[in-house]
Amino acid sequence: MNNADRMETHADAGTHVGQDSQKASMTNTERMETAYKRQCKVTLVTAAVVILMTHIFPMYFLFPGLNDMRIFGFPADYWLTIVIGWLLVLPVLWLYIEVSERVDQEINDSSSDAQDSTRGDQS
Amino acid sequence: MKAWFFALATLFLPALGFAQESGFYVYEPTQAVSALGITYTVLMIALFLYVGWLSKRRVTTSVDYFAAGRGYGGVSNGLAMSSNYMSLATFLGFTALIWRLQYYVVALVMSFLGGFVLVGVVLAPALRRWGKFTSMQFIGERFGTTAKVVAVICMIFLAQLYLIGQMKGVGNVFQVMFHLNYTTGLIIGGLVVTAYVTVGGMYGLSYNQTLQAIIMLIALYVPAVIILLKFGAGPASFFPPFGYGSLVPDMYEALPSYFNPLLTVNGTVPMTPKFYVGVFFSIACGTLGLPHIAMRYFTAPSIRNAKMSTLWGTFFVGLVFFTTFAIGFAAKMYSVEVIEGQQGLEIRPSEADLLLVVMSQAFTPGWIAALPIAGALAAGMSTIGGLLMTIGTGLGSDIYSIVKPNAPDHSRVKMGYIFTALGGLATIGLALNPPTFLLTSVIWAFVVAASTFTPVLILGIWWKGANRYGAIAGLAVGGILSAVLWFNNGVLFGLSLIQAGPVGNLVTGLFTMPAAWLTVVVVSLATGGEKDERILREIDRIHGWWTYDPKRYGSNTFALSTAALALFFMIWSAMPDPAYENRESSAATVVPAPEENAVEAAPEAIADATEMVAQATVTTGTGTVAHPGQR
Repeated sequence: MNNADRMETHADAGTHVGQDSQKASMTNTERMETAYKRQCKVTLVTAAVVILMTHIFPMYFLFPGLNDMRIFGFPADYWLTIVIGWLLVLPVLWLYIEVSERVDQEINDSSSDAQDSTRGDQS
Repeated sequence: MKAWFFALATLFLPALGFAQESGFYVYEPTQAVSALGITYTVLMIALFLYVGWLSKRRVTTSVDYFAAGRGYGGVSNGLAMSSNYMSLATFLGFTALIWRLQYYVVALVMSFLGGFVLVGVVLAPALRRWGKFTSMQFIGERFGTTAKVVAVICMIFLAQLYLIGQMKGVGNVFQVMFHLNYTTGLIIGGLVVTAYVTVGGMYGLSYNQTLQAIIMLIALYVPAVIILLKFGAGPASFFPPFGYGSLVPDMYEALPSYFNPLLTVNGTVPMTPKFYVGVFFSIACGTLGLPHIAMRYFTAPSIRNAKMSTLWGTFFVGLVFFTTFAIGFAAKMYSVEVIEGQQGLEIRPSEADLLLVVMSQAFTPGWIAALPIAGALAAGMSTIGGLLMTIGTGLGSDIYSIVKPNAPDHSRVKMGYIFTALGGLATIGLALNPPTFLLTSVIWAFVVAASTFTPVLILGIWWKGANRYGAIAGLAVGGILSAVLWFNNGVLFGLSLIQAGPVGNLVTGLFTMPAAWLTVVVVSLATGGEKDERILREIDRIHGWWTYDPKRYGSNTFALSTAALALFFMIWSAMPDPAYENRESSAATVVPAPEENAVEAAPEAIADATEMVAQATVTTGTGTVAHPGQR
């Protein structure tokens, strides 16, 4: 193999490495994009749900009849306002913790892989 | 059951003092309650000081002093968060509010809880990853030194508003319970909390706040269970938040309007959509901006741990909030019932802050009746401690690092000691001339927090476009607007942005917070957004990224749409509120107070009376007083 062939082979190998890296990096880019969107969505949805659950008080205006209904002796709107705004927020918050931890893990994995592949490309 | 209740109430009633001239009830602690209250208080104070002194041994670095070595999380931190958040205004004030405003208070209280949860979702993870000591430090590193200085000024303003209310409460407790004059009570209470926070730093504060949360829970829960049992609520009494369902029919009989969400006892605060949205902006969004709440997240060992602390904190906060509802319900029932032809307790609104202690003294043995005194002081001290630590860290760490950027770690700790102590002394000085109503200054503190820190923190974390000019302008606009409105009783350029009563001040948040938000967005966009790549990379890092992508968190659409929404809220807040305007215009109209207390009265008459109050709430002026206890 002459020098020119050797250089060509080396260039091919380099191209293959570059393509693999690009493929891997594409996958990572997609993973990162998904994780980013999921993080924004989880935060936004949780915030909206928490705001709604803790501000359910105006339901009285929509359903005034709830004030005449009784749950465990209390007017239904009063009882529901407290139960939804406090006791039911707890499992929602727990769910948020679990989901957001998973999203954080995805962010950590995908971005550290991307960082590794960038370092690999540089070296 | 009802007859039994009347007999019991009559039995206890002579033990309570009445002012001869006015006929109104004036609380006077019995000797047993006073003596035991002093004993509990002395023991509790000794314990707090001991814990502060013990904690000093653990302080070797600035991370120890300002962030408890980042090793304080889980249930303990959840308890500390809850006591940090729940002040004297919660412990005593909520019972008073329930008594005065009834069901209406639910709207306010749920917003407090919502704000507490939102901190854990929207801000805490990113702030904890940033890894400093305060939200002012975050603002400093994100937006530069000038923004940090403005943030510290805003923090001192809001912390003082918050602290004066708390200090006043502590002084009042000493005054009423132990017959000390207000100044002496204020100085004793103020010096104790200043001492243990200064000496123990964040470690001392954290351990003490956990202890204080436990004291508050016991001091509230145990009397509540006994009171409900004595009212005949049965086994449900053991969970006071929902323990009074069986008493609801009696309440309907005594006061049919209690569960009417649109009606307060004196009809001074109309429930309108504008008021409710204003409450959300001031309370829920204000909580997001409170620096002493955000500060507790910096002590957690990990992000997950910080989130779990929020979960525990939410549970404990709710437990205290809704137990105060139970006591407020019982107090309301007690005060409007007819006892053998004699009217029930007639309590001046100014005495309402003591209802928890009044009820405990009337229905529980002395050794339990004295518990709320300790609980109230613990509640006041925990919040004062948190705020003093914020002041100490803001000046001792954040500002000192500007003056002496290369100062060694031990100098920063020393400055922390000095400024925490000075903050405490300054607050005691300011509280010598306090506001009349305990909640007023606290309400304004929430408005200031919502109008300064909240927009800057949320946009600083979630929008890369926010830059230093926007942040400085937003902090300045929000801070100045709230200060002017506070000073001018809610009037801006002749336009009244508040509604009646201290709670009506909350409506100002509907104008000031959107104004600050809009300013941050507009000024940031007008000055070209954030260009510094080091800062942009940091924003990715605080969201957990190892790599940098300029497109992440950079959507101007998000910023512009929220700015448009902010503009809408500002315009709405400046428009007259029809329900409130009607009340203003007929302020001189006086409607006779209905005899709601007369349970012997025909149901039709009660219904008519309730209807009259309802009408008064919607159409007449603040001159109407339909107080059930008023003769």
